[in-house]
Amino acid sequence: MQGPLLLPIIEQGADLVWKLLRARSEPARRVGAAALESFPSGAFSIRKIARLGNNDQVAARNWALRALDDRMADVQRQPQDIFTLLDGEWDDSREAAYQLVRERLAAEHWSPEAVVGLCDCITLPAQRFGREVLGKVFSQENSEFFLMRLSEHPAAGFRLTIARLIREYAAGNANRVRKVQHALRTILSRVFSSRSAKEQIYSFIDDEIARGDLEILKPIADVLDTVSATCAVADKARILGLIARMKSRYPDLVAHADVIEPELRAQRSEVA
Amino acid sequence: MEVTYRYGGQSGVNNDGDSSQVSFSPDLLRDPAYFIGSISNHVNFREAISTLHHVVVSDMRFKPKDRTEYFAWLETQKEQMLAEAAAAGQAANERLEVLRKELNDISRQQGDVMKPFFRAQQLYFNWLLVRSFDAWLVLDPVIAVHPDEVSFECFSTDESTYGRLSCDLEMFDEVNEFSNGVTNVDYSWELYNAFQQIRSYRKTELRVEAAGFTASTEAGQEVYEQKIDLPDTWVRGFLQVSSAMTLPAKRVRLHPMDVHNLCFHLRRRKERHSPRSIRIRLKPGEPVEMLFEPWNEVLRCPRAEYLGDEEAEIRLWGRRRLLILERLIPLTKSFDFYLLGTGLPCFVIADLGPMKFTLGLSGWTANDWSRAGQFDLLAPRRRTSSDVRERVFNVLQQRWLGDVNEIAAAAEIDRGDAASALTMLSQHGRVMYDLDKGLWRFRELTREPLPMDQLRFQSDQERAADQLINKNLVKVQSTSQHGATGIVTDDGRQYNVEVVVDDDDRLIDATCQCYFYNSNRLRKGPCEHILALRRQAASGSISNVLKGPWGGDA
Repeated sequence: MQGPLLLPIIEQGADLVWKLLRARSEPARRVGAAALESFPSGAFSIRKIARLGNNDQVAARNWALRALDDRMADVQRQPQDIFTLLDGEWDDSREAAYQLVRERLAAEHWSPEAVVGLCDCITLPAQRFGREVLGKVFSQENSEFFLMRLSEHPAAGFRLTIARLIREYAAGNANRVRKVQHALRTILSRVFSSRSAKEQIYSFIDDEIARGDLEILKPIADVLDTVSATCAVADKARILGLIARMKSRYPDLVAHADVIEPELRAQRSEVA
Repeated sequence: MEVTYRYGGQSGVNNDGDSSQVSFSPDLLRDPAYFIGSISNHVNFREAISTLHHVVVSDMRFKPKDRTEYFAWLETQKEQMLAEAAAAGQAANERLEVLRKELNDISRQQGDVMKPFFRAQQLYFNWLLVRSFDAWLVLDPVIAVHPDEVSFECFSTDESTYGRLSCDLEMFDEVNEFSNGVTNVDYSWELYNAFQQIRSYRKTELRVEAAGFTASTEAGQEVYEQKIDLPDTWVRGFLQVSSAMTLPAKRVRLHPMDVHNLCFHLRRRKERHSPRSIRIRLKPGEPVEMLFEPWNEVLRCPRAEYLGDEEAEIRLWGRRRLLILERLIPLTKSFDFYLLGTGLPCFVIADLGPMKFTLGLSGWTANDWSRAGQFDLLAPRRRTSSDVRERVFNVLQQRWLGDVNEIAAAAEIDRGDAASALTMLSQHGRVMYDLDKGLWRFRELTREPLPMDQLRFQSDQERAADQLINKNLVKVQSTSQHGATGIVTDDGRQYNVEVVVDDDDRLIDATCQCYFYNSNRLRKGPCEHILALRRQAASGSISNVLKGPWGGDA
């Protein structure tokens, strides 16, 4: 549909075009995409433009990208508004949007809430991009904020990030350790996965045992008590070693475990 | 059977800055049921509802490799192979060698050219799976809003795994709107994605929308109807598994890490030959042991002591379905395994505090005739009059839940009659037994009553076999680990029957003297005599299980 045939639709305004583009019928969406070309970028909110970038009509997606390019100042103020597009299912518009954001958004445009929102997206490319932005904006001041929020992330791709955050920013802080207890348990009870993340957590526990703060060791001991029942040989050896070290200092921790010293054998010469 | 739904809009999620609303669109053709409440235990709810999603999409049926391309390639090679065979002499062979090399180069180039196409094709299929998720769903999940809890129920695509998540009302910070009822809800892949975004720092509201029942279509509300051709096998499987919850079972409480270790053993290796079962060994006062076949590895569960009186060994097949529980390991306090017997359904209840997740597994993943027929599970266990059933049903419909004594008292009937009527109603999908709380609940699976005459048996042979067993016309002469022989009397004639089973208790061969067998052998499945002997001789027969509180002596 072209030219004068579209005029009555365009005259009805942006609302009708929006409804057409969201319709179940494919021809209706096609008509909507054709009519969209006549509208300026300001005809829709940024959130709506981002949703148009996810439309199955390539013309609508291209229009959305051009519109975003025009209204980059709005995006810089509120990057969350385009997460629908960054988390979208269409490779072309999504990749183009990443490119646009990489070029035009600096670290100061990303608030910690926006970064967490980006990491909370569903698609792997969006999560990867979230980690990339996280690397740029992360600082000591907002470390607790990121640690607490990201520790609830369910994606496998975030486990190593969470483990590193725990090791660096939960160290020596009983309150933080208590709050990330669930993350510790989740990582250590994975079956045949998250090896690197587990290693980070074991090193963290090792450091905390060396530090010897009882308030920190209590929640850790709870976790070790549970996961020590694993049948994975490498994990079990590591966990039992940690428990033995912990109990040498605080014998009441890890109630289910008793440390039994190996019997000393008499030396050959003594026997003789 | 055909089922029709009418939804007022699609289920979805509204993200609004620091809060989000998960809205389920209920079936408008059913009685209104709605619920609006804020979730308090976010992460646990997310993990539990995601596990339920894994039940919905679980499909462990054997899928043969797609070898179309290989056969197409083989077709192109035929001429070359014939030429090779016919070629005589050195010159022809040399020429053949040159041409073969040339052909290989062309094939390689073709592969390079086509590679992006095949990759894109695969991506398209993956996209299609997500896009048309409805096409993969058999029956939309059922939500029940009861006075004490909200529950979600579903059954897998492969007709073998049942899932139920019950959330006590204490799990919700504030309950704004509430009306008891049972309804199907529109379910989609987007909802699963939305569940993944649930976090404790974002207020999340669970909404089974009431608006659909009140708003009129003239007001511009989008209403769409969905007609689903529900396979009889699927409904039968659902009823068999859910009604098996009423049967007495051996209970074992496992530590979360025992389930972790179970998953560890299953993930470590792939079984390449039968037997593929787990033998769960129960000895009174001793830790539970699991033996993984065919490797014969033993897993001891030192923190799980069996408290029953009798020693038993129960075999479970389709064990990879237990991997569904993996996501719940870090959250769960304990896993209660309810084992009915070898080849019978089993249930696992994960204790998540105010939430309980029930996983029900049918005896085998494949529900075909080569497995032990489970048709006894839907057999009436004790006859009750339709009047008694109606009274019990009405009482439960008014009260929504209750134990047998309460229901019997309210309906003014004998306790045994009430128990039998409830069992029969659960077999018909009209009520359900809550294994965790030991209560009966009102829950109609579909709006229209299910056609039980049509659903009870998979085939006429199963129906006839059931009659033969009921009339005591099956005489087992000998049984062994790999089969049984016996005599079945039918219509005044005696047939010598023999069945052969493999290590996984799968019927692999059988003989009979009847006309059906002589005409078809096993091509159309076994005859009623073979089925009857198989059922009668099956070890751990359900008849033993049925001698329990809800069985014949109820």
